[in-house]
Amino acid sequence: MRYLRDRIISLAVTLLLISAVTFFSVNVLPSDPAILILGTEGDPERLESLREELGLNRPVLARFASWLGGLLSGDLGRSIRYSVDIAPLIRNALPVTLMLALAAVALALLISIPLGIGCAVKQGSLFETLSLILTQLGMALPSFWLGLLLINLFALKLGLLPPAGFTSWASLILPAWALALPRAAVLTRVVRGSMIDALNQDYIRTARSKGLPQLLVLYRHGLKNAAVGIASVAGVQLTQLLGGTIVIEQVFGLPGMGQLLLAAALQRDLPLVQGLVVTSAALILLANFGLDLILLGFDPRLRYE
Amino acid sequence: MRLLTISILVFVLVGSGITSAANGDVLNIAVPTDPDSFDPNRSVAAAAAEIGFNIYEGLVKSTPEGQVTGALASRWEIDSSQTVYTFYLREAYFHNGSRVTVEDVVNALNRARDPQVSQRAGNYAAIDAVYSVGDDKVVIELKEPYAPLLYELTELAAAVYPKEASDLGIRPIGTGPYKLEEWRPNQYIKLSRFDSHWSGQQPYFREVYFRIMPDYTSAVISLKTGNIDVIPRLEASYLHQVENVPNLVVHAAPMNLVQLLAVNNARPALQDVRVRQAIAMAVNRDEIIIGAAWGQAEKLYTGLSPAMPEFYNPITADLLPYDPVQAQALLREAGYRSLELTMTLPSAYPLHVQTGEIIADQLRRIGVNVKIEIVEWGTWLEKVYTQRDYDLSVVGLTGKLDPHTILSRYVSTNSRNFTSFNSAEFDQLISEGIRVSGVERKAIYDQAQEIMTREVAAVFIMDPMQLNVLNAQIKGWQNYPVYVIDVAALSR
Repeated sequence: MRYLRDRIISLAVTLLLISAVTFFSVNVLPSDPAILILGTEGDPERLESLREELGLNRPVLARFASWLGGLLSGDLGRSIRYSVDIAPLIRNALPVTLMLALAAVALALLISIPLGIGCAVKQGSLFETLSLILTQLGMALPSFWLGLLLINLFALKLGLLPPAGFTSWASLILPAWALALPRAAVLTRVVRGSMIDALNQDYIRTARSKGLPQLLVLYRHGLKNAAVGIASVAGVQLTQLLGGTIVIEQVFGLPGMGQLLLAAALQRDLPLVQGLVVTSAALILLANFGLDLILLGFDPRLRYE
Repeated sequence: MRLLTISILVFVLVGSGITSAANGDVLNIAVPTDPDSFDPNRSVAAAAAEIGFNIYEGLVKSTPEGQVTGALASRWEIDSSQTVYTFYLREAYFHNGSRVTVEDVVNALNRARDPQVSQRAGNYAAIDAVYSVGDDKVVIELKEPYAPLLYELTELAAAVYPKEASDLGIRPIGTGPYKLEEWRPNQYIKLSRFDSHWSGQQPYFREVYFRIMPDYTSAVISLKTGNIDVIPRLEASYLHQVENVPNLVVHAAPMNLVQLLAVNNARPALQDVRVRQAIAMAVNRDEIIIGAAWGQAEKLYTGLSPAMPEFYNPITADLLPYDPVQAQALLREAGYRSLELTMTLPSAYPLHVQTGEIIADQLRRIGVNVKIEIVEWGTWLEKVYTQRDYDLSVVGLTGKLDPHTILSRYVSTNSRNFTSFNSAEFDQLISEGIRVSGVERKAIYDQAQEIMTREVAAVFIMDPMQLNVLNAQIKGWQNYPVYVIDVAALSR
């Protein structure tokens, strides 16, 4: 229990610090959303009154205080670019990115666990050699290029899946695969390594000598012990994805947080950028926290380290 | 391995049931960005005008030929002094069902010209008063004759909305053939057909989705699979992917956009007109059109585009023709053996970046060494456009219907004169041009164009073709000389 309480406190403090750093770095750098709003066709004489309207002339600390106050009550302010409240904008974009990241990691695990176990069990075989070559290839391929290939094959040539845009959850299938394959490549090697270590332990020899079937030995005794290593890597991949789906979202036209952040940054929509960064940070912190709890479940010894 | 195969099959089977061919009543158009706002007083982005054309109407609107036709006004009269315009309002209804009254029109126009409220008030500064007469006439009085008035009234800024409307930015209420159903930022804008349009006509498409797709590759693929029906303004570099495809049609027309090499007249080295002329004569437009626009553009030599044939002055082509030898001579005459300049290019526009690179190469051949700096759009607007802290740049300026609105930018005191062009003669001509009409007016703008070309307000390069790619089933596409998409004219 004390562990939980300590973690939650440190989570809150970290989030506060991140909010402060985000706000000040975004607002202290020279950038003027009013200029962007006026573009090349608006009257430049409107610049000052527009800045007044947007509250850009208030002192920085006052703006930080009111933003932080809003943040604590769930109000992320209003987007300069879209003239709507930010919280609903992020609420619409979040599920897309979250589902994409989770689907990608789930697929990666689905592929890598059987593949990695197969390699560990059949060390030195043709199967293992082929797998190692495939994974080497998989690690080298960039996700966006894979994405374009998948679109070309499944959407254009075969017409089975939607090519771009977000029309239904089916729109996430191809991008999830594009993200999953390179990560599956890395994970396969991790699974293989962890399993080889686990399978060399004494308790495996004991289990076998007890006459347990191979599958039970592999999964109940082998995988469970290898799980800590695998889950750590998968967890890191998930947190990276939570912050980094921007390129795939661009290629597939998905309205996730990555796209929103890109649009906001290019338009100098400062409140939206702040809201998105803080939300992503919160997500990543929560994911890490969740990961730690899962790892504790696998290996209670970690609690005492 | 088995698990892998099974999961692929499952996902594919689930997915295939969900994709469907486009519904005959629904149109899908791919656009690269969201509009900024649907409030006529706040919006300046072209994306908003493009979509807003279908939602809002003013007293008058633009035709595909660049002329003015009646919208909410069935007819109008101009008095002999050219300062009093009387518009006769027709019977029309807003999307919310209420009837359009003269008070609504007067309110909308007064807000449009109020600098406290409108981002485009400068366009309507010539208006002295707007008032109603009876319940079917609206009168606009000008301080002096102002020829561009009717054209300026076709713009989104002069659209009419109910006077009690609020939150027009996201809840626009107009009289156009379509109303806004839903706007999901970064995803789509959904329009639905308005059944009580004053023309009594109903457009073919019941629903229209403007889908936000920033990546042209995805948009082109979606067009080929039938998920998208129209891509307006496709980049020329993607042309080869869509031409000669059996179910796609390309409608090409000049954009009425003027792409220019901006030359900062206020920089010490560039203040000498001979240096600017040397730069102008080193630019080979044919090379640029092939290299940057894949041949899909029309040359131009002045601040207007040949897409405005009534006013474009073709003589300007002979004033400073491509002549690198003469260019070098001019440079030397001005006292420079060589010159170092920086060119600041906007990364958001690959066409302008590639044009800039080709020009930098052409300038090197006459001894002007150009250092290229590529910045993103926000920085370009701040540094080049607002602070005018640059030597050279390349950008495109969208066209309008009237020459005054386009050329007045280069008046020395105009706040949008980012090349800092300063010619008293030019200023004089522009102020006269709004007071006259017909042949006299054309002569004035002919002269003004000659001055801006000869004195190098900028080096004017090309009008890129707009490549609108449509599914072959879609009929009725109209090319306009302004940045609009006329959805009501389309059918399948």
